[in-house]
Amino acid sequence: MKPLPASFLTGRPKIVGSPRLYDYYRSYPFSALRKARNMTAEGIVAELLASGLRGRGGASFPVGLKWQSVMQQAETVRYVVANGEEGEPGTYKDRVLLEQNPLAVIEALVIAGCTVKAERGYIYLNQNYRAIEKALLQLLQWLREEGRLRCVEGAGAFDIQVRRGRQRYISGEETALFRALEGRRAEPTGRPPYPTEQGLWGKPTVINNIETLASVSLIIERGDSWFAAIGPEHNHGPKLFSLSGDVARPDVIEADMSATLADLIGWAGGTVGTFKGAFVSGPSGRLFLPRDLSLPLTIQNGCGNGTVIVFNDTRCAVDLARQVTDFFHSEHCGQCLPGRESMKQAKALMDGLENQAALEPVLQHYQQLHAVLLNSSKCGLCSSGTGIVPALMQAFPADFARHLRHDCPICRAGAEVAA
Amino acid sequence: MERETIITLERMVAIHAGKPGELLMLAEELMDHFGTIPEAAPALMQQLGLAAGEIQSILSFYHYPVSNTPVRCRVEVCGALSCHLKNSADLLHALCETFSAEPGVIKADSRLLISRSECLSHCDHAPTVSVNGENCAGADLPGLIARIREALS
Repeated sequence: MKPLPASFLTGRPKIVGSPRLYDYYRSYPFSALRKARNMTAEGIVAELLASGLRGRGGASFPVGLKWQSVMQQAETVRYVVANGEEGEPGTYKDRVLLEQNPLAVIEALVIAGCTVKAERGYIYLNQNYRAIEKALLQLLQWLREEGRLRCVEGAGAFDIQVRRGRQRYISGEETALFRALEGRRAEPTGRPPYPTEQGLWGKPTVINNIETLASVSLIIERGDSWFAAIGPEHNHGPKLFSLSGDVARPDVIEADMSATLADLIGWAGGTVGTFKGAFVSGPSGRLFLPRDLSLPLTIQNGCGNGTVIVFNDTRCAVDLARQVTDFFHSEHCGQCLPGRESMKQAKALMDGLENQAALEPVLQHYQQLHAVLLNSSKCGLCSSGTGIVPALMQAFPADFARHLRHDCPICRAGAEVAA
Repeated sequence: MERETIITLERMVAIHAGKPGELLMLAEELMDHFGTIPEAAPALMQQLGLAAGEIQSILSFYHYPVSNTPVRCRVEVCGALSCHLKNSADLLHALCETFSAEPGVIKADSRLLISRSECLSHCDHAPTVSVNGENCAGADLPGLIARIREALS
């Protein structure tokens, strides 16, 4: 097994909930912020562009381009937002990062605010991150008292507010998150206009994932060349991976994107039992099979947000497909007709699987629903949720055949325990 | 509903009067205080500058429980994929059986609510359970039961 690479984003003791929060605050160097004070906004964006940093929330959009786009808007009221909603099943890297190094995120948000000349920043948290919210509020209070929430001494007021959202998976989608921050239903809006043009309250907005912002602090502190030297081409910098499921030691693993699925599972203590597959980037991501174990988890290979849910050969693919379908059925926003109707039909297909004569028509129907969503739904969430079930049907037809014969010992045993 | 509860509710709503964007903040404050959204709250929330229909629409979208039965102990068992792989359904069943509770239904006598939840984002400790907003590992069933009993006492 390859040695675990050095950690830059994580690997610190957990500070949230500990009595050492003030010591952490006092000893935090604010190196990136001090360096940013001597840089122009254009210089900061140029550094981000040169680093090759892409968003870590799943969409992998170049961060420098996003900031640059907001800077180019004529509208002078602007916002910066840290997206810590993290509602995708199996995703918890941002929580771990915030528990260990929350000031790296605040520091980057201040830099973002100064760069795009925003008047206010928001940190939007998952509903369950109460302890993190408490720590962030305390840190922000200390920063306010010392006048450190600004890039340039004597600059205009910039403030950061923390909001803990109500648990809805859809809230993690950028435009839906804006609606949640505005106190409305977290329903996505169509693009264009893009968030950089009309985001929060209709104003130009930079919205970045928590890990993305922590990476910004690293780049400003250590330089774009340092960051760009880590990882394969077009996949620069350290990346966090959330490992869970059938692994011996579920944990957040920090590596570069040359790490293969086998490397990551090995660093998490190995598969419990025999590896059957993994959902990479979560249930909305891509299905990895044993033949894919040697693939590096790059952006091009679908690493997305870095979530890896491993399952072993005692698991039934039908049970997994039903879990995924039920999740997206209950969590889609219901706003657009294609999303609403397709998710209803997808659930009916999975619920009625045992009434079908053959798998092929079910697979075709599910694929048609996926295509409809890709072409006509209002946002990408429903289509991302219907991609993996056809892949499960194609990869594990024997599991589905057992259900068609009403003869799945795995699911029967599970049903007996639940009853 | 007790007079004292109404006064508390009115006081909490009044802080956000005229600020329609703060409905979710208020709802979370009410959840922290009462464990549910009291039935009288949606009408009072119109003080924020929102129509009754908008308030109902937003509260239902986020699945806020509107009930006059205050919840003393809210137990959420994560049922998302990582926890499902660690038998969270069995855990939910075991907890409901231990406390003679039905999933998603407030027990009026003990003010206990045990329900299945979507991802609690603590997949490294799966199966995860949240007791009054604090996450704990569900693998230690006796410890979990003791914690719930303590919250109820």
